Amino acid sequence: MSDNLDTRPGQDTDDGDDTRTGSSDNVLKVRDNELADAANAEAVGARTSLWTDGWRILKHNPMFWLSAFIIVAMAVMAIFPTAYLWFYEPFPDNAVLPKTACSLSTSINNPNAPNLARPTGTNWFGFDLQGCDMYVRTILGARISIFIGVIVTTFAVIIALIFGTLAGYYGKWFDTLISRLTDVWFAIPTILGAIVLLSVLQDKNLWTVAFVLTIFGWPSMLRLMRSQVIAGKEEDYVTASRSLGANDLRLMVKHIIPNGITPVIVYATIFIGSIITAEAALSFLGVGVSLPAISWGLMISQAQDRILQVPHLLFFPGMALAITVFGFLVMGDVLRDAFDPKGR
Amino acid sequence: MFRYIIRRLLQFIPVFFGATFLIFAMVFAVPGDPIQALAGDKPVPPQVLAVLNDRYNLEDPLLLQYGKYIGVVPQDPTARQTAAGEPSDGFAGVIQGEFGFSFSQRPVSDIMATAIPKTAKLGAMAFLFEIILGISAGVLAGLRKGSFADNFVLVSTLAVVAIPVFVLGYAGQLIFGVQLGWAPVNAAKAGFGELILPAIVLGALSLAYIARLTRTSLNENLRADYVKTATAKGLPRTRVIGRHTLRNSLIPVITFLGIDLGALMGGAIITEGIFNIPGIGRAVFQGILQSDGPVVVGITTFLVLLFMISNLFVDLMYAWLDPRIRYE
Repeated sequence: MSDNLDTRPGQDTDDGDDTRTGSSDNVLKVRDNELADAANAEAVGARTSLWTDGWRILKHNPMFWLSAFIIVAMAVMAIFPTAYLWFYEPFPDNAVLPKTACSLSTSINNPNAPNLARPTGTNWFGFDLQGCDMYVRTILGARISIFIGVIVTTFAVIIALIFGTLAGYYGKWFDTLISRLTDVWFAIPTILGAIVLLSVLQDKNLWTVAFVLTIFGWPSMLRLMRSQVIAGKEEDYVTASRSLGANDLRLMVKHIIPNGITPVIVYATIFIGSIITAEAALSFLGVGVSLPAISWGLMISQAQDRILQVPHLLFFPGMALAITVFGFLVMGDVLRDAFDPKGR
Repeated sequence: MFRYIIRRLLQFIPVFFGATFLIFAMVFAVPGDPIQALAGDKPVPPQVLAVLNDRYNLEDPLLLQYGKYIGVVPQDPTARQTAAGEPSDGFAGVIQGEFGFSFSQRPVSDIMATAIPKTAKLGAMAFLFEIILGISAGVLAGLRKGSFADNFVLVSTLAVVAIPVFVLGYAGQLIFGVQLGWAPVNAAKAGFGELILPAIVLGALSLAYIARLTRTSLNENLRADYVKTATAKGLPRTRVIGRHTLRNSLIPVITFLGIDLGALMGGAIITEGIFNIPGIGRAVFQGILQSDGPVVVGITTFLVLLFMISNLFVDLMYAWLDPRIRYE
């Protein structure tokens, strides 16, 4: 298939030689055009062959479309929550209360609350302890979860790209240093380390939680990138490029990273899901983001004493969490199936 | 093999000091006086402050504090540091088995001694549950790729991984504890029957990973040449799978079990909280809530040590199971 980069241009021109007849001028012209076309096609093909291959598999996979739908829906929820709220009227009788407002008269602790603050036609998800509409809060809770997932993953990938590549490429003392450092960090379980560090930090917001999760989350990504670089740097095309005079930076950026990044992208997709779970767990334990921030983990944490009596306090944020994480996990899974030739 | 073990053991030492120092620094390098923080706004008598500072080595620079705590620097003769309550003027740190005192003057090793058996019981039950069910599900799915069982295992394990452990815990409590009445909601005594539901909740996540790992690995190995050879020479299918394929397929699963211990400990903090189990996870969390530095550092150090030893053990086992590893 198109993977065979070395032979294709040669074959194309050979075919041209065999079939073409006519005056030499014409032939030269046609050949020039064809060569340029071939070169173009080659350039595009070289850059996208793996991706077009993967795409061909992906577009027939219903699980891919399901997970893509979930991820897009959740991303919109995080960036433009109004898309889910503009039509929703939690307090139709009371125009004074803005949409996010809460009213203690609808709290689950208020025996006079309409329908005991359970879900109704006007208030789809019911109310919480403070009488806040659960639908509004569940929608607004997407932001922290998804932002933290994406921020932490971005930083982990950047760290892996820089230090993992350098360690894998140069080896020697730098690799030893980075590897031992990774070992040290790897010895501390992520959640345990994050709980301890967050417990001593004073101000806990989206950025502190993202920072702490990055601190304890980076080693696995770096290890993966490093092993990819070590496997890739001895490939023939790298040697060929080096013998043509390419410097280290060019080799890394043009050849080694693009050829080794696919597993990292797959892992990053799954990583977003696990970071979202970790954030929720930290907020649940009370060491993550704190009020007045709205987060799914925090919602469950605040309701934990009443969950056995009022299950909707658990159900809606729990479902939102599970669906989001499910979307990222399935996406990682189908991407791996599509891009990992071993699984085919 | 011998050289591999020696090298692995030598690598263990810097990682041990690095990881324990990291934890120590996280807790004790924060600005502010921890003793004053315990007393709130009330003034602390200077004599009390002096005794406590001495006992916890709080006046020393961080690295020296750590050295005394871990047991590579001798303690001051005035600081009482052994759990037995005897004055100690020698080395009395983690290496010697001394985890110091909590800020409420209870030996940290005492706290751990009461909490560890309960967590160990919970963890062992979760471990057994995930190994037995996880490997069975993985084999069932892996033997027939694309079958109903395969797809069922794939999707259901993803669903289990997607649900956070605390949601699973409360949902289990709600359904099996409150609605069906099959399991007690509270497991404060940590009896066998009480721990079944918490163990399932704690092990569910890893069960899903084990099932998927077994499936993938079995799938890959079923196509290996040695399996074709075994089939070609006329071995019955049960023997081809049981003796040849499965044995090799379980190597990555065993590696996972080492890493999994860390996840179990993180999960134990949450599971023990939900089911009110007085184990190590709850003890460390109580320590965090009460800003009891020595308790947090002591238990976390112990857990990290446990995690490292289990990983070391898995690495050695890995080398024993897969000879290619030794020659790297």
